[in-house]
Amino acid sequence: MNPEQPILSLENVSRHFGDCRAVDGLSLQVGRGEIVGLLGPNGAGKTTTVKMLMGMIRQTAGDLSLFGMDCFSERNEVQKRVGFLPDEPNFQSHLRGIELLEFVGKVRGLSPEVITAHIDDVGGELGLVDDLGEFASNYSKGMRKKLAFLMATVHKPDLLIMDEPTNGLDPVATRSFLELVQRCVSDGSGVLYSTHLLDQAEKVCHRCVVMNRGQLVAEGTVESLKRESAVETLEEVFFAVTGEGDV
Amino acid sequence: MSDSTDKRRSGAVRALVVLMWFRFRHMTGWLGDWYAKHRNPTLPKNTKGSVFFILLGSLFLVQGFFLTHKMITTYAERSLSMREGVVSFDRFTYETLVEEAPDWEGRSNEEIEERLEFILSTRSFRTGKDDLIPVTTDQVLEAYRERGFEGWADYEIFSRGEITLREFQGGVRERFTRLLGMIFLGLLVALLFMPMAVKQKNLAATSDHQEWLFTLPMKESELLAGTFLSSALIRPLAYFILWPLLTNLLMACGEFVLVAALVAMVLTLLISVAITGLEIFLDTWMRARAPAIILKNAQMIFSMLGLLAFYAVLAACFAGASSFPWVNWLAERVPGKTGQSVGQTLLLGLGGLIGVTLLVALVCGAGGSAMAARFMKTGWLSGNGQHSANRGVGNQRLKGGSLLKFEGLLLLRDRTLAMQVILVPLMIVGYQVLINPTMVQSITAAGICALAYSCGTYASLITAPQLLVSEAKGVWMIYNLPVAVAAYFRRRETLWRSVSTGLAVMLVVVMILVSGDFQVTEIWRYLMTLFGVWVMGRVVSGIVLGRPQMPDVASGEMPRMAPGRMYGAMTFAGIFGALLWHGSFWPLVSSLVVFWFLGVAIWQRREISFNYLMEPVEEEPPSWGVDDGLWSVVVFLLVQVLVTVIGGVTGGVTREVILSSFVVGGLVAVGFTKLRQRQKGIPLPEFPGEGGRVGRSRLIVEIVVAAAVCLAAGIGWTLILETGVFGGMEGELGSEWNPVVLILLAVVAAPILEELLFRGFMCRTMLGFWSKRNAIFGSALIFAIVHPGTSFPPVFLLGIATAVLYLRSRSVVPGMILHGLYNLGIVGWAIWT
Repeated sequence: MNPEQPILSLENVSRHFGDCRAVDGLSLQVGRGEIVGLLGPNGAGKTTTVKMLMGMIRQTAGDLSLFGMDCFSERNEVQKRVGFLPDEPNFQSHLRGIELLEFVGKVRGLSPEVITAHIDDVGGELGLVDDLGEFASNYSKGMRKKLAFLMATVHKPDLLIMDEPTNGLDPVATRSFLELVQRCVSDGSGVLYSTHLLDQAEKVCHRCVVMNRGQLVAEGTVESLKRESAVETLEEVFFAVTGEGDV
Repeated sequence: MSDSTDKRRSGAVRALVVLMWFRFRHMTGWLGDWYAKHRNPTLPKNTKGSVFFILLGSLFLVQGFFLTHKMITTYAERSLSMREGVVSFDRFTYETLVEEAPDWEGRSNEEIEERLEFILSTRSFRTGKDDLIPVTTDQVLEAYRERGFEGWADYEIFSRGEITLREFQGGVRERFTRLLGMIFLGLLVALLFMPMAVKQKNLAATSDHQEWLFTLPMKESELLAGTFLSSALIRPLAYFILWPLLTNLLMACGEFVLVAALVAMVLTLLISVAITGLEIFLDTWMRARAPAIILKNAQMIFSMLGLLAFYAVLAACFAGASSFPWVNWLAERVPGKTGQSVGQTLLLGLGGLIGVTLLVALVCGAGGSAMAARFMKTGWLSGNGQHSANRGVGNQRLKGGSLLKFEGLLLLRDRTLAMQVILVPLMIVGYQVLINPTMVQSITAAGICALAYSCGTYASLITAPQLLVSEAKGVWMIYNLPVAVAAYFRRRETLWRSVSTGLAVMLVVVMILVSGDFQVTEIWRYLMTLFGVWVMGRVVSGIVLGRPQMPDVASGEMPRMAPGRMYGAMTFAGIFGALLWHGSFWPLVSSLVVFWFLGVAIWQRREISFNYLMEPVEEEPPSWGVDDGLWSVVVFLLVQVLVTVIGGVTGGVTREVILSSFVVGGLVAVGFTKLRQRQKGIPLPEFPGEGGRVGRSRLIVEIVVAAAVCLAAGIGWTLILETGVFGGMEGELGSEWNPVVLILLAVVAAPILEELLFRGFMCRTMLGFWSKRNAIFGSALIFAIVHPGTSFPPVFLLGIATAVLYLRSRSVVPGMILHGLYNLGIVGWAIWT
């Protein structure tokens, strides 16, 4: 694949639920080594976009491609190269963290050594290793997030899609988590970072896309967005472009 | 990132195995926990929920055994009769035969046979199950031809089985019906409870909570195949292991007849396999194509279909003659014979049946799953599709209104709730009526009551914990049982009471109409049953001790009930149940309910993690409620029973014993009442309204008029009963009594004690909780109900009249006079006639 070519590309994508236009004509690219923030108020269409990217639902119109492959019809191939961190990871309550990791690793065809190495490396970084023998249902929200991150990155994905990743993490875990994300990027992966925590997006993302009511309302680097809106912070940009600050 | 095809395939196979394994761990719940415990003592949070379900299942298993034992006894009896030409030969029939026998001399065999058939086909109301002896018409004829009626006069010899077709009275039959009862209810519980409870949490492939599974590079077909296979293998396994079967087999221990039950069970399991596949298909299809609400509807339909299939098979195994031809067809082909051993049956007949059903089940199930996978692949469906914005509540917004209306709307919109509370009990009964008319036609008042009581209490007891599970906040509430149940009930009190009692009323009416068996002497029994259902709902909910409010339990707004009061309510429930069903096994059932609840409560207390009950609870300020009056009546009845029993043990139940039981009971109850008053230390509730006392002369006129009206009603009612339009009467009033004693008791003692209890305390305490009208009718109803037998309508009227007088005069004396006058009139009438 051409390294210049974006790994994620959305062209004029729409998804309608009956009369509701959850996503309406969205275009978006994510390149290698790039962290793109997907911002927007509740109901903006972020999760729908993520679901379409993961091949879980099909778009009503437009093209979605990852690594040049169609997100829906070639989703099995796509899923092999993508790691997904759901907003609220719910795992089978009668499996331990380690078993879930083994399960995901096996589905992805990884050897036990690779999985163990991953646990030692990333799990150690997140401080979850000691808790992996515990049942996942006994995990706190933060621990579930950490486990989900371990599961999403076990196969060293080329693209990491994260839905509200730091939601539930304490400041220490958030810091090491963000370092890990940076590490993925420096290894050449792309990251789609869906969040509404603007200060974090400002710190981490190279580029931000702001959605509102299913449509893209602003796009660009954090700096350019600030410049365009003539404001100081990303938060103000957000209010300006979504019209939420008028009240 | 690319793997070779072989590697990928083996990875997928391993993943499939892992998927199946963890689904197994899910679906078997406690088994997984047990396993986990031996590996690591830190259990998942919901383990205790599983323990709760096992406890609950066990309880209902035991209760189900008792409830269905009676039903199925009748059931099997009548069905076998129809199937094999067996007739029930009871004492009445026997006496009719003996009476007619002289006329038969010189008649031809055909004529005798015709007459015999007519007599045997005319059912009489049985007085007890010992009267039933299944024989065939041919056998009776043969016996008659051989011996005439010689030897028949000794009914006992006859009943011991010379001509009895089967050893039905005890032994094998007892165990047979018991086993069926347990399996019936056990499977019902398993079917209702387990898949739904489990489904709420799991369904690995299709639950949107576990959508991360769909983000793994595994084909939908693999995922669905894994789901189907694991469900198909595990669901039946879970039935087998988790639920009652093993227990039943162990308990039944021996050479019982298992054929029908076994077939029913096996077929049910296979049907569940098919349903699993279709469910997967439907689930996937609906998820992609339709709003969530339709998905819910469809799932409900499927669950119902499963239940229907279960009942169909069960009924087919028992039913002798059904209104559905296919049931009869199946019934004739059920392999095995009564008395045949299990192994024999399995070897001889069941194999083919199992094979065919398994094939059908696999084709249906695998077909459904394959279709789902295929459509997902084409993109026509997707694993996790569209959800409506109005999930769960439809397009209309809930409007304000009465509690009942609000909750009623919720009930109808919450499919699970509607199904559990309304449809399942309806289906149980409706199906019995349709499939097995013989059972329904031969059901007795006691059977109707058992059915109504079981369905009513089912609605209030079973569904609540089930809802606890299905609701998102369910798990934490389970930890707090029984307080949580009480809290939950409190929230839905109005609805619950209406639904469960309404259901029981409907059942009674329908069953009376269908069976065509109605006797006025059974009115009290029906009323007691309905009252029992009503009280059960309230007592279990703690409503009887609480206030009619609707707090949000989950948010913690709900004030906690002091453990002591809760245990009091439970004990009350048990004692009431025991009183309600005096005789044979009902006290045991009720005691079990009580002990179970108490056990759970104590168990909770022991567990330090359940700090709910350990925390100091602020006692609510003392108040008067309906329960206070009920307690006094319970004490009254209990002491009466106690004195009668002691008298009976020491020297037989004589008039003196009955008299003293009444007086002692009344005195103890009044003393108890006074104690309660002192203990609470607050005055009784105020009389409603401004109204001063009514003038004495006006009061006298009212007493006389009321006495005349009540007396006219009482005597009129007696006359109506004597015409026999409603069947027989119970005993004769005053037949063996010394008139002086009788008048002392009925005209002096009874009015004083009863008025103090029912009006002076019960009606008054009800005012603290209810409106004036409800207090009048409520106290009159309970007053009438504790007067058993035929006298219900006039006594109810008397209760209303005395309560009205009490409220008008604010004194119990006018009521005592009216009551005394009424009793004097009735006793005088009885002695005179």
